[in-house]
Amino acid sequence: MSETRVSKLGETIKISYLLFVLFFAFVPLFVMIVVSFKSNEQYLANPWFFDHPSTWKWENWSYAWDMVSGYIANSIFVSVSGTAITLSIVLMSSYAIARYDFPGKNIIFYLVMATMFLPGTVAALVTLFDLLVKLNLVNSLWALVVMAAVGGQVTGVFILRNFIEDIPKELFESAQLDGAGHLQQIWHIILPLSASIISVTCIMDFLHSWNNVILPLLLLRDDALLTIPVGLYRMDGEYVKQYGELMAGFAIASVPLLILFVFSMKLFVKGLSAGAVKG
Amino acid sequence: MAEVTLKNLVKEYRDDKRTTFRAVKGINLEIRDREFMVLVGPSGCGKSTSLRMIAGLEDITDGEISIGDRVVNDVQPKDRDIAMVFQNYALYPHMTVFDNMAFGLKLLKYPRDEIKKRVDDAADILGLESMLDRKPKQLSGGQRQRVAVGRAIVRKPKVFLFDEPLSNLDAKMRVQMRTEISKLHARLNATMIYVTHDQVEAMTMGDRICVMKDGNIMQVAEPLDLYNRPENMFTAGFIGSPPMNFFYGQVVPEGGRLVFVEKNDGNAPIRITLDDRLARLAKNYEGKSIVFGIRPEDISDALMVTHIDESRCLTAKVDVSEPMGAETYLYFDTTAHSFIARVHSEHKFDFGQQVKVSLDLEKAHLFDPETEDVLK
Repeated sequence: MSETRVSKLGETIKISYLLFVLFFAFVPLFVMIVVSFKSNEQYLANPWFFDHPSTWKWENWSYAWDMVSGYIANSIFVSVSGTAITLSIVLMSSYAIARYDFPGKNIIFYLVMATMFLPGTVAALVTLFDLLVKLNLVNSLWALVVMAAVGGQVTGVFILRNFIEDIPKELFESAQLDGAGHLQQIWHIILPLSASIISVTCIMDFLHSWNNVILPLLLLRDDALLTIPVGLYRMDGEYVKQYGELMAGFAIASVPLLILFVFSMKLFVKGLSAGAVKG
Repeated sequence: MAEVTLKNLVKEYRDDKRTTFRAVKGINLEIRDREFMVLVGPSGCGKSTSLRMIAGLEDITDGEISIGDRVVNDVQPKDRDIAMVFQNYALYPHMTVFDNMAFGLKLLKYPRDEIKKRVDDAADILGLESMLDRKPKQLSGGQRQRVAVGRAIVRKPKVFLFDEPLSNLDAKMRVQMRTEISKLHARLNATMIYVTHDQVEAMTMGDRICVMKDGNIMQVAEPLDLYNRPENMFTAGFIGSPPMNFFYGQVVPEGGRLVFVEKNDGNAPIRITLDDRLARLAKNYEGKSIVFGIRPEDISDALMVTHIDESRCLTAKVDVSEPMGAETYLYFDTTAHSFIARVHSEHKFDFGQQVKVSLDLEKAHLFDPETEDVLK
């Protein structure tokens, strides 16, 4: 009897804690949606809850769409290209490091890993900017693509190398005897067998690229080239602040990530626990 | 024609400390067209390394490998016209049985109809027709191994390579698959090279057997030749279960005949009067060390021998008795040597019992203790 009571109490505490965390995670999102339907006056009068639907300012959303759609397109271009380039390089380098012995293999691997401990973008900002100026990449989305592709390598190689090493080498050898070249081995063996772990790496890279503020803020000058975080940042600072339009813009900017999450949720969760238990 | 020829084949590995390890030490072997050749030996003898060099999965340090008339040292594995079956099956877990078997043909861009026909034919041979849509994890070990064999068959290669394919199966399945692979060889009439550490597999499956030790070939012969006429102590001891018994001792002349006297300090040694054949072989070893070898089945319970020759008998203490049903393994201890006799199971033997056994000297062998070669 007492055991049941203790476990019920434990359950209650657990659920309360989760609700507490979820509350603080979702309230800002809820308020964002609420405010996106309000004028500045409505917002000042009642910032927390919806007004009567007849008073909702749908035009905030159409205005925001006109504002942010270009930024979203830029962000999608940068994130998708960066992630795709990262993935292809990570796959090939992890495959080479995991499968083959060549002189200097360990040195290369440890050098790549060592960059994990170097100071990030902020610390290297001045030299990085200088380099990108010399490469004539300032005020170009390609600068962000290149930086995304470079930045995603380290963790990607680290995770994938270990994963590929765990795939029995006979699978590759068998494919080799069947006539599969290196790219075919990557395509037919590594990709299907490590789909979940690859998707996690991709999602992480995509999010990192999508949420990057510092570099686009520093490198992009034309308004038409801005990515979503910088675009929203600019909207936030321009003229008289229209909270409804701003929040609608924020909400629209969240949609691509929500779509990404919904479609990749299963793979993502599977990937996070991949390798935890050996099958 | 698909003879496989290995000429002075060497494989060396270098470790991190730059020390060189020779896994295969310049072996020469000719495998005939359509022959079932078994490479057998203990772990680390170089048999799998040799097979992997034939497959092209390991670089050759020195020497030459030819398949048919072509030297394949620098030929890619896919272009050697071979197929290999691995110990752990190496099936692609994300593909169905059909896709696993069809994978190589798809890469070679065979027409879809041809792929289907070949896979169906292989499935028919191996009894896999009802499993083509299953994934490997839904199959038993034996079925998986059949798929692995099927994957090799569909490519119709010149040479099949098997790398300990039955080691992961249970004893019963191993016996079954052993027969199936032998039947397959008869049916496909292809050259097959089969690596195993199990001498029973080697004896039952091979047209010829190549016994390897420490990167060297010890003997190549047909199974019964290998069993009855071993060329060295290693082959004599490795082939046969229980293995051949060896007694170290000296050849001493006694009353005009040569007698083998066991080296047994401080105890009464075993004395075996050599018959004419053995005496002829041992004539240069008078007063020298020699090894006397005899198989367990050539030692009989003296009570079961009708015309007993006392000069061929010896009495020893039973250490362990293992009744196997049809026969009994008796483990003896002479204090200097232990030996095994494989006797009829009519009698019961107890621990410590003194048993008189008779040796069939026609089937005994003498070896040089230094070179370990048989005396011929």
